[in-house]
Amino acid sequence: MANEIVYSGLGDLRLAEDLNRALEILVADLSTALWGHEALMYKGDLSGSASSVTKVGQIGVADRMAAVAELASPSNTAITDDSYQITVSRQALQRTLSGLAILTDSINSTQVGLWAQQMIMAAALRFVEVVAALVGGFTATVGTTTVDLDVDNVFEAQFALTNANASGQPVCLLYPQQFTDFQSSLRAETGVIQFQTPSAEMLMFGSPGYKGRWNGIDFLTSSLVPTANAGADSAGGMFVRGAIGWADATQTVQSALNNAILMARKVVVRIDEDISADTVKIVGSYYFGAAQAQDSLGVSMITDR
Amino acid sequence: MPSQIQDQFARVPISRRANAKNLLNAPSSPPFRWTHHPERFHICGEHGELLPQLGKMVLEPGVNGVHANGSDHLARVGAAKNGWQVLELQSFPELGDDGYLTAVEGREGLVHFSVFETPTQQGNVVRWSKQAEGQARYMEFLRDLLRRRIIAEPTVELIEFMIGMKESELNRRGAKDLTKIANRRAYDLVAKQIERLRVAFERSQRGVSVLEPQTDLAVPHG
Repeated sequence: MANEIVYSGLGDLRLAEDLNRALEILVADLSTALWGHEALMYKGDLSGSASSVTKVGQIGVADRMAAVAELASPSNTAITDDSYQITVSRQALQRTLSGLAILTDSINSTQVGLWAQQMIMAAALRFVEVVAALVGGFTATVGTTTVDLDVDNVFEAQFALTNANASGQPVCLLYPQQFTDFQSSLRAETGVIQFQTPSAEMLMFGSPGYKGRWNGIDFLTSSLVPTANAGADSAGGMFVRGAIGWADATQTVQSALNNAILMARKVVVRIDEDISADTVKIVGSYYFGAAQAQDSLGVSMITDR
Repeated sequence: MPSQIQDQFARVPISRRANAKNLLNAPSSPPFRWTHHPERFHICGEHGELLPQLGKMVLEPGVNGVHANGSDHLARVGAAKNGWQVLELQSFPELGDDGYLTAVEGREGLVHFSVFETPTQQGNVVRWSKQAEGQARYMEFLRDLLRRRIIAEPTVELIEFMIGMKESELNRRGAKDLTKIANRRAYDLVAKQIERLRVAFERSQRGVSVLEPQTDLAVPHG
């Protein structure tokens, strides 16, 4: 037996490795459930408004009548007013693909459409990041620095919101470690809490983002929740509708250029070819801004990271 | 052989390319200013000191009033209206040119953090050190904010309010099964926090700074 044709002898005719047809997504926190959540107040579209800033007026309507003696006149009561501003700004992401990278692609990893669609995810993640930057800035705080978040901290935040006359759907945005600390604490709960179905559901493994509703509170996690106390802690928070407002702007799409795609929720992707360098540029843009609206409607939860 | 090679070709030093950089494998993070609200104090550290709890004003367009052109005046006005004060970088030249703020290049852009934090990278895993040294320096920074009167001392009324809140918390935690280690530990911690708050309350009532001499703190309490 000689001259058999074997794989090891076909060095020039075989590849060291095949490129699998299935493209996998690298693990990352892709939670975007906060984007447009009902607990965030949408304050409108600023396109055509002559400004990139919207000033939101607020008035107090809780003034009570008071007893007035016979023949006496009541004195005037001033109106309580306040305001806050939301500035809309461009948020963007750009990718440039070379012609050679595209033409040698065998698994659509440099497909222009794929990266254009990814801009929606990029916009949503940016939205979460901007809101996450706000939840650590409420005056009221619960938790102890470098100590794990527990069920009592959640109750504390809930009580603080109750005491502040907050109403509406509460949301608790936590760093993943804060949430798992909460889960650990929930395991040790006794009494009525241990028998509630949501308590059991909260302990289950789940994807990043929406974790479920417990005690009437929507729990969301994001790795974009910032640090506090020089990195020792995470600055998550709980808030209800009215604590944070946001606004956006619709972009003008120049259809004559035939290179813009209007994606969902006012995200526009523009594609530009540079024939000289043979590159394709994909630029996604989203105009929005968010700001703290009413401080008393939120509680920062600052606990160990 | 080596000498022959040397004769034929110019030898080049084997080193990193001039443009090669170590980039921190962490997402970019924006510049910020620390802020403080007169109602935000917390018990922290090994001995339980009442110190300011700082907030963060993120300086990025679209966030909390920062204008598209980068101007932060609306953000500052909004913060001041709500009682927050901004800790300016130039107030802390002893910490460096940029005060308490520093930045390194990351894979997606600049990563901003405080001078009290230290990122380390093993392979592609980034860990933010929570080592005692950084935290001790941060706590000293907080103490200094009170010593230099950059931040006003907490009022007697605030400390009294904090004691009331902590006592409510202690009652709630006391109703739990204290034979469980985690419950017991949390209960003891809150009890210690109340004790420390009472010390601060007493000092504040006497018109003395809530900052206790570090030598006193070294003596175990409780």
